Amino acid sequence: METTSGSDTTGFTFFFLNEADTVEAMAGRIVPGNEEDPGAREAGVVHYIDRALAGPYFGWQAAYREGVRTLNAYTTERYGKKFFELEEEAQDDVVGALERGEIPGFGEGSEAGKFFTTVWAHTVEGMFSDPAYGGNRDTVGWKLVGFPGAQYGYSAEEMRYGKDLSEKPLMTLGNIQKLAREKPELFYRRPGPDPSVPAEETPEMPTRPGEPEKPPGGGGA
Amino acid sequence: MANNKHADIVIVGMGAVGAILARELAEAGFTVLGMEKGPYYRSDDFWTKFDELRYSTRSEMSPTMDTDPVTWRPSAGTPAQVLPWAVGPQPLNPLWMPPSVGVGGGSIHWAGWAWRQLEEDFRQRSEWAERHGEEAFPEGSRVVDWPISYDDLEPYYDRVEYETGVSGKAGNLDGELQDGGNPFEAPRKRPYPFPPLRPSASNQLFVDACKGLGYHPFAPPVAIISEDWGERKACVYCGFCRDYGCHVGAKTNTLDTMMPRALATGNLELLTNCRVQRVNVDAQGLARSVSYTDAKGERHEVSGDLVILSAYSLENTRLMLVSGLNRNGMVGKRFMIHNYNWFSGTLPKETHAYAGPAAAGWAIDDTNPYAEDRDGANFLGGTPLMYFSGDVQPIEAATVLMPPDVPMWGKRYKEWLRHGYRRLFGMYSQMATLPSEANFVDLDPKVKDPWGQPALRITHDWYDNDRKAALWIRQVKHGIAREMGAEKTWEAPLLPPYHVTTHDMGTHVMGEDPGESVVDPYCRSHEVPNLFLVGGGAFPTYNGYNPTLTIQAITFWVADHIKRET
Repeated sequence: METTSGSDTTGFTFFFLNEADTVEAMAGRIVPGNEEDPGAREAGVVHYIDRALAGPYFGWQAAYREGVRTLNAYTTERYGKKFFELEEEAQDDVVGALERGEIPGFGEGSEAGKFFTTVWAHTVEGMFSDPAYGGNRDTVGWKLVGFPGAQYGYSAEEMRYGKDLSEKPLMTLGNIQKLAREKPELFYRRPGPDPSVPAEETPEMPTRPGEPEKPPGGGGA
Repeated sequence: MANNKHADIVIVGMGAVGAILARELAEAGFTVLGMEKGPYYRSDDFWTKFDELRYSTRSEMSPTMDTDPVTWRPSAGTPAQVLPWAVGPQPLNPLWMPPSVGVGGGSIHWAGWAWRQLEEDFRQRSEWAERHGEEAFPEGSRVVDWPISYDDLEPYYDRVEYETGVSGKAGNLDGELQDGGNPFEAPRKRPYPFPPLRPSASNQLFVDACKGLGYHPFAPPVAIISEDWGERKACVYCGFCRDYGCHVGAKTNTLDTMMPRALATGNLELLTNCRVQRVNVDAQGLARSVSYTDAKGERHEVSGDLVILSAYSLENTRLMLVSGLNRNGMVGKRFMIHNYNWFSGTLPKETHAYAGPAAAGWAIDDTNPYAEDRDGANFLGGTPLMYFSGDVQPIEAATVLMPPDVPMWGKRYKEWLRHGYRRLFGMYSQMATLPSEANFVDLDPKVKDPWGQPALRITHDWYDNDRKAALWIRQVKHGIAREMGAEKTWEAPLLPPYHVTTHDMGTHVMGEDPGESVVDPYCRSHEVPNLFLVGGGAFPTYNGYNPTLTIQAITFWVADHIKRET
């Protein structure tokens, strides 16, 4: 088998491969794109979602697993193919039907009930959150909308109506963290005493016996 | 129940209110135990806070429904559910969540509008009865005059502004109207300590449009310093402000302004990551101690000669009810919130709506309840109208701020994002609900938090006065947007889907009459004489201004009272 000289770090740690392909195809219909004009696929949104599900969004794992299975069962019956194998036009028809609640199996009460909204919300997050989260590759999401990213601040000259800021270098969390290491004097340090650090900073949450695990709560967190 | 610490004063909640009390009382020589369910943030924690997903979308500094569940139902007799707008996959505005935890509380990541109330707001019933007649008060409403006046609080407003740092332009100095300030503001003794912030890029269009329409635009008061002050640096306009800690110390919070001096006294002991769950009252009817769970999940009790609850209106109220303290039935009554009436639009050129603090946008106050010439206003209330064109990041723009006529996915969605975010502007306002019998909070009979404490249940809906107020202010915004030359405008629903706003007032209202209120004018409980409940919960009526400055002025007023009387 032929291997590249560098190691590829883009593997999936939660999704099975066909799940990743399905979610990536869906994200690609939510924010469509191509090489010249990148969308969610080019931004690597599926990697953002995979990482989130393996971590803070573990509560949504079942919704994705069941949602992808139900969606592919539907397209297989109707078109003889999995969702990601369909032409883009057919994918759009399916996503539209999903959004309108017309696909069987996505009813209220099932884990997949809010599947479209879930994938949509997480696609937008992966498109526009910092690249450190695994999406928004090469800051294509921020370039699309004209967002300069993690900027330390803006000058009066920059904050003028109609001013073209397209040449302002984009900053990511990684970039600003480098700045903070190199120029800590730019930042604020609180004067005066700081209480001693308690041995254990994070309270443990007791679990109630017999209670099912809930999806993460507010803000998808 | 180990531990058994004792102090002169136990303060529950070290946020925008409790940290002020801790400093004032520790400096006066009292020993103080400061109880806080969140952490103590270090100043370099926020050096690289430029992360919308973490702080805004996922609301890292606000509690979630997992640890701090709250339920809601529209009216008594309907089933309540855990806040439906606060659970689920959709990115949320943290404004629709309970406020934050940690020393400094919501003051760490607030937007910073720092209004005083108008003189008339302290005598709302008299003013409205005189202007509109007694018949103007809707059935079930309970509009009253405050037991304290603007003159009582003026010295304390001044202290908050000068001790914590507020930028702005005075409109009324001792009765003399000042050019460029808010002509409607109550008289103040001296100017703001800092000049106004630099407003957002498209602000001048708003200002010109307002002037053209005969309004009186001005730079509103903001608790973000515009010039360096000691270790704190002037605002650098990064635009990660609302929902974020400040990387240069420009934004005013009680962690920075109160804690160093409070801790330096040696009289304050902080117990962080400790959740107070009950106030224990002895046979004489005095508050003896509070019970709490520490970071390891162990239960303890600490005692004090005085107990002060400053854990936000809703949590103060939950603690009272869980502790069985509601003899007159008034605890939980008069729940009041703001309708934000978000209004968005696009302008022909780039607005850079991501840059600068939201609160730096100018405002008009010609829309306040007592202003003359409010054409077509047929409701009780009013609000300042604020230009909101800074501090808007892309996830929020691509979700909750989308125009309703643009598809939420596909080519048209993408084209909108490409065009719209660059040209975005907004206006917002805060029509307050009236105090009434219909809107209240109590304990949920079913839902409990992970420690087994009952959740708070909100019973709230929007009523006819709210609808009329929202419709009227929407028309004012449309008029301004037209004058600004907006390409396109859209707005949030007239009556919002949320019923909690981080501006949640009432539920332990102040008053002279022990039968009709929970605390006296110094926030002392009528029922338990050594228990104080401080915060927005004490507001007997509400108005359109952001409440924090008034809450903090009341806090200094209470601290002075305790120092005098104890």
